[in-house]
Amino acid sequence: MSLLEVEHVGFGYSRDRRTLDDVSLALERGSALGIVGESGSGKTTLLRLLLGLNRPSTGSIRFDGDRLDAGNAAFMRNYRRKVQAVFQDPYSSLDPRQTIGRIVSEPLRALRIEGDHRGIVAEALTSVGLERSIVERYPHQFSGGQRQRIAIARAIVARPQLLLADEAVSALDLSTRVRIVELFQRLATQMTLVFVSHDLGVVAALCDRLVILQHGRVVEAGATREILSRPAHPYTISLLNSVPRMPA
Amino acid sequence: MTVLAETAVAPARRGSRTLWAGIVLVGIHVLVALLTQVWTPYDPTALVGHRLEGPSLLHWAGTDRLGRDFFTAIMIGSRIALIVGIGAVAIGAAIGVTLGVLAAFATRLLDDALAAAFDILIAFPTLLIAMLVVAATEASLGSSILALGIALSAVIARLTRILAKRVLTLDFITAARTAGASWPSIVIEHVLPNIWPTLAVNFALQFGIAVIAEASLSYLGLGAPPPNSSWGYLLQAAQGTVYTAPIAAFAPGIALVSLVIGVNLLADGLRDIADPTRRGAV
Amino acid sequence: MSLLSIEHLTIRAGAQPLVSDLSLTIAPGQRLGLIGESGSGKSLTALAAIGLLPSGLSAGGSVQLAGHEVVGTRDANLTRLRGAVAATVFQEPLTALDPLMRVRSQIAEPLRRRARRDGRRIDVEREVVDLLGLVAIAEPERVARSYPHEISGGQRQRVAIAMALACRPQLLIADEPTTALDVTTQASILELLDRLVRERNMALLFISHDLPIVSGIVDDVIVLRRGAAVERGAVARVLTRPEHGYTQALVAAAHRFDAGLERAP
Repeated sequence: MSLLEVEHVGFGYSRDRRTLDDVSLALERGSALGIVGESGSGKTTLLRLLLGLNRPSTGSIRFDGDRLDAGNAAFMRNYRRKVQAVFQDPYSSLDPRQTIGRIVSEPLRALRIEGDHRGIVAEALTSVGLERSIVERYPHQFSGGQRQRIAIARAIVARPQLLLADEAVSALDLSTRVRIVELFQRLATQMTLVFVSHDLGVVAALCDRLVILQHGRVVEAGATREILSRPAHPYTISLLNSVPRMPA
Repeated sequence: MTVLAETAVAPARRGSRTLWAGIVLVGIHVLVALLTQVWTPYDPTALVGHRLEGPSLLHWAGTDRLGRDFFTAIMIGSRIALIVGIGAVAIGAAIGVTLGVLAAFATRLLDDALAAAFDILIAFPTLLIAMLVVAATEASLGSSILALGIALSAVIARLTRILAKRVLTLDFITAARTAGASWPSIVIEHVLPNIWPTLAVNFALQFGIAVIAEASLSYLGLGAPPPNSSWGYLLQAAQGTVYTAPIAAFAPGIALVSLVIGVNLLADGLRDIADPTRRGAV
Repeated sequence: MSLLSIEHLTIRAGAQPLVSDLSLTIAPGQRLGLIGESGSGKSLTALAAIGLLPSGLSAGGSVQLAGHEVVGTRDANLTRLRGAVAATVFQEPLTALDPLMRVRSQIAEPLRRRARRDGRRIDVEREVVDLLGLVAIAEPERVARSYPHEISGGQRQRVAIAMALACRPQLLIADEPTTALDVTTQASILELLDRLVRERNMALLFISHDLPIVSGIVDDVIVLRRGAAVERGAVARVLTRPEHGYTQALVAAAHRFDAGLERAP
C-alpha cells in the first residue's frame, strides 16, 4: 500500500477555471517525489491539500490507507505527527519574536508530544548542522540558509514519516542551496519526501520520481531519469529546454 | 546585510533618550498621583483661604473661587488623568482587540460588515460618543471612563484587524498550523506578540486622546464632579478668573500637555526596546 | 572612452566595507557579468554605477559614466546621465512599477524626457504601443491601459525593460532581472534582452547569482565575494576552468544541479 494516495482530486472556485483538475498520484514509502510546476500550476494548492489546510472539492487523499479528514481535529492531530512541512521563504517562516528554542519546539507543544523537549530540540538542531546553543537567539540573527535549517529542524523534531518541502531552496544562494539539498538527501534516507519546485535541476538531484503539473493537471509522471531523458509531453519538453545550462 | 547594519547602528541611542524623557515626564505624574493617595498639601474640599488668591508661599497655585487650595486640585488631577487614561485604554483595548482579532478571522461577509461598523463608529467624534454615553448614564468618573473606552474601541479594533490580517498571511502562521497548533494558541503565541509593538504605540496615542477628551467632557460639565475633578473641570472653573489669576488656567493646561507628551515618548521608547530586531544585531 | 569606468570603488556602512577596492570598465557594446551571492556587493555596485546608493552608506573611489564622475556628485546633475547613458532593470517587477499608475503613464514618463532631451515632439500613445511591441508583449493596447497588478510577472518585467529602453540608453544594467520569474518566462525574457542589446548595440552589465544564466548572455565575467573581485575573465574560461577556490566551488555547485538534466543519448 502506498503511503500517500491522491485520487482524482479537484479544487477550484469556478467551473471553467479549476486550480486543480483530476490530479492523481501515489507516493511509496521511502521514496522522494518531486512535484514540478510553475506559477499557476496548482502546486501550492496541492501542497495545502496534502497538509490538510484546505479540503479538496472532488476526489480524496489517503494517507496510509486512511482518508484525510481535514475537519476532524483528533485525526488531524495524529496526521500532523506524521506529516510536516518546510516552506519557501526563510524570512517569513520563522516568528521573528520567538526564540529558536520556542520555534523548533512548537510541534512538540502543539501535538502534545511528551518527553524532554529541550533534549529533543537540541538533537533536531544538531542533525541539521546547527549548534544547540542557538536556542536562546532570534531569527534575525541568522542567514537565509541557517533559517532554512531551523525551519527543517522544526519540521523533523516530531519525527514525521512524510516531509513536504515547498520550494524550500528556491530563495537560497547557490552554495547554500547545495548544502541544504545535501541535508534533504540525508533526510530522504530516514523519511519519505515530497519536494515541490519549479527548479528541474534541484528535483533531478533529489527525487527519484516526478509529477509535472501544468494549469492544475498532471501532464506527465514517472521515474525522474525516464522523464528527463525521454520527456513525452510538450510542456515537459519546453520546461527542459528553458533551463539554462552550464557551458560544457 | 546592509539593512541590518543600518538599523542596528541608529535607533539604539535615540531610543534610550526618548525612553528616558518619557519616563521622567510620566514618572512625575505617577509619583504625584501616588502621593495624593496618602497626602496632599490641604484637604481638597476644605475652604482654607480667601477666594481667588494668587500664588503665595501658603498656596503655591493660589485658591479657587470657593477658597480651596488650587495646587491640591492640580495634584489630584494627575491621579484622575492617569485613572481615566489607563481605564479608557484598558476598556477600549479589551473590546477593540477582541473585535479586531475576530474580524481578522471572519469570513468575507462578516469581515466587511465589521469593518464598515468600525468605520462608521470612527466617523463620530470621540467626544460626541462619550457625551452620548455619559448622557445615558450619569456623570461620574466611572461613566466617563466607560464612555471613552467605547469611543476608543473602534479605532483600536480597526487597527488590530489590519495588523492581524497581515500577520496571518505570513508563513510562520502556516507553519504553526502545520505543526498542529490550534487557532486560539496561534493568536496568543504568534498574532498578538507580533502586533503588540504597533498597538502599544497606538494605545499611548489613545491614552492622550482619552485624557484630553475627558478634559473636554469635564470642561463641558459632563465629567466627574469634585472631589474627583480633573484638569478639565479646573480649566472650566478658571474661565472667569483668567485675567486676575492666570495661573488657574495655565497650571492645569501644562499638567495635561506634559502628561500626554510624556506617555507618547514612553511608548516610542518602549517599542524600540521591545522589538528584538532592533535590540542590536549580532 | 568607456561607458562605465569604476576604479577602486569602496562602499562602507559605518566601519564595515561592503565593497572593497573594485575596478571594472565597460566599453560600448561590451557585455560584462557580475557573479555573486548575497552579501557579495553586486547590487550595491549596480546602484553605485548610477549614483543611487542608499543613504547611510559612503562610497570612495571613482565611478564614471561616459566620463562624468558619479561619486560625490549631486543628484540633480546625475539625472541627465541616467536614462541617456545608463538605464536599469531590477529583480522584482512588482515593486519596480508604480502600482497606482497605468502602464502607459509609466512608460510615457521616460519617453517624454527623452523627447525633451532630443528637442522633438512625439506621439506618446503610439510610441508607448510601439515600445510594448518591441518587448514582445501581445495585445500592447490592452497592457498599456492596465495597472501593474493586472498583468503577469513576465509582462511586468517586459514593461520594466521597455521603460529602461525608452531612454535609448547606451548601457543597460540588469540586476537579477529573471530571478523572480518562472523558468519558461525566464527563458523568453533572457532571449529578449539578448536580442535587444544586440540590435541596439548596447553595452550590458548583467548581475546574477545564477551561473548558467550569466554564461548564456555575457562575454566577460567578474566573480564577487564579500565585496571583492576574486576572479575575472572570459565567461567560457571562468566557468569551465575556474582558478580561484571560491569560483571553483560555485562552478562545482552549479554542475551538481546541471548534471541531473543531462539527457540520455
